[in-house]
Amino acid sequence: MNVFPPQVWREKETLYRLIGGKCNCGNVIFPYSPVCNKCGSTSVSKIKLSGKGILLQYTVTYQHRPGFEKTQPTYVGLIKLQEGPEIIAPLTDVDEGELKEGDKVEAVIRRIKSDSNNGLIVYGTKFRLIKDGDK
Amino acid sequence: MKNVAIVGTGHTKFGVRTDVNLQELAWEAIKQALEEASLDQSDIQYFVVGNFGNWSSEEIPAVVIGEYSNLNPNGTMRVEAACATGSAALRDAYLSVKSGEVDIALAVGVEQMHQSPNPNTIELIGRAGDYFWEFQNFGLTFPSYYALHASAYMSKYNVKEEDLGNIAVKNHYYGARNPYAQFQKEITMEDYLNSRPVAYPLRILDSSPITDGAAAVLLASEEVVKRITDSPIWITSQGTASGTANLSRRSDFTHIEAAELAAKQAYKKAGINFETSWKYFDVAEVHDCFTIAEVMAYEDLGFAKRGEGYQLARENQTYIGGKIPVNVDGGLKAKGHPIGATGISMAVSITRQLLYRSHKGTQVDVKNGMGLFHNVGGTGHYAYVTILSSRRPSS
Repeated sequence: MNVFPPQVWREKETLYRLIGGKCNCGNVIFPYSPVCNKCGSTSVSKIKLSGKGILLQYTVTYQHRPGFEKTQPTYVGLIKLQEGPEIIAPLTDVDEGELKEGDKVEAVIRRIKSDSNNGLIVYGTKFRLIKDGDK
Repeated sequence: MKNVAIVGTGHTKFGVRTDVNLQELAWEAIKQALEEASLDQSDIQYFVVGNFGNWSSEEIPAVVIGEYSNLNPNGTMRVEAACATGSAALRDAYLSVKSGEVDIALAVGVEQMHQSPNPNTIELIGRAGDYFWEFQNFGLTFPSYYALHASAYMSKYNVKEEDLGNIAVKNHYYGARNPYAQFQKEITMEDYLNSRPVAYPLRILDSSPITDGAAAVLLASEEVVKRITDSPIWITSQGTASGTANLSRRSDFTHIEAAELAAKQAYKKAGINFETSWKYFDVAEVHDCFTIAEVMAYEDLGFAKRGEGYQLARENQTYIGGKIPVNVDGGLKAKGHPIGATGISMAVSITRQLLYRSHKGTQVDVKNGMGLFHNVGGTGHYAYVTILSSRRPSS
């Protein structure tokens, strides 16, 4: 698997820092877009999302994908972030049977994959459960 | 605007078709359609090729098929609308005749997914969505998108696994009776429940397969229809809509909004009441790439109220003899899902149903002379709903 550095660089705010947009109308957009997808206004400023949210749905995918062998099976969640947007993202540090709808989750940075030739590593956001006693 | 009719249909055997190349596969369907209409290539003025094609070698399939099928030097193009590519090809041919630009046009859908090894094909299908957010970074594959719909639907309406299983059992029942189907084999609920998971809660027997196949339809304008056939099937109306690329920007995972919009458009043009839509049709083809998609389609098409689609299947109302027979050719689940061919295959199935030409054990009773097909690209990224009728539209 090859990593294309300019592509990762372009996406760095989205992937590493969860930068979204907030419009004057109150709508929060993720990934960031300079135009509001609700009212069409261009008065959108960048905000950093807290990464905290609620797990709405999840799935466990068993399909083989080259480059992702180490993370099989993959846990994927539909997450409602505190700020409003719903996003689909992988879940990490979970065991089978541990997930349920309504669980609190938080974003963490994890290694996603690396280039098979030169070892360049791509990081990105995954979500993990906030367990009782964590905070 | 002119009325447009389907005057010829062609359909290949679906399945692993590595016995031929892409253009040979397309020609199998085109040849059948030409023979059915007693036309030859010189009668066709324009042709459209529906081909998703990422996994196959031909980069410009329209002209490769054109040359092999002796359709040059007619104008052509290849179109793409993910899993609704076939309906998009049909739409382009339909509009070219409807507008009066040409009198006879051909739409052919073809796909040869087995040209690439399965993991590559799975990877390429997984790109159907918002590539950067969902796929590249996180390795989501396509079934996981529908799995999220399934878990949302199941928890909202308290639906059991067996309710999805009913769809798979039905579609395999009819697939077993369709000689063109990839899986001509019935399954039991026990087989379903014991099949391995693909993306929780979806199993292998919830999922449509990787398929090769082709289908073709010949379209003609009202002026020339009479010279070709005395049993045309008219395109009454077509509705089309799209949804956001990024699933994170959708508001609801318990239905496919674009499909509902497309259905309402098509119904409006045809004067059909959404709430009682099932009464107008003898048969329907819906896009069951996964069983949950068929359940949602019942609701998006108005056959059942929100949250009650699974009950239609539970009560066997979508078998022949029920309220509205659905996917009685096996659907994507058992007939197979050669991406670019699927929409045209649906058109062929409905046309043959309305003409009493379906295979033994799969023919519905035709009372209204009307059928529809519902073709979704991605997870509601594209949607097309097309209504066919043996009655000429009044306009």
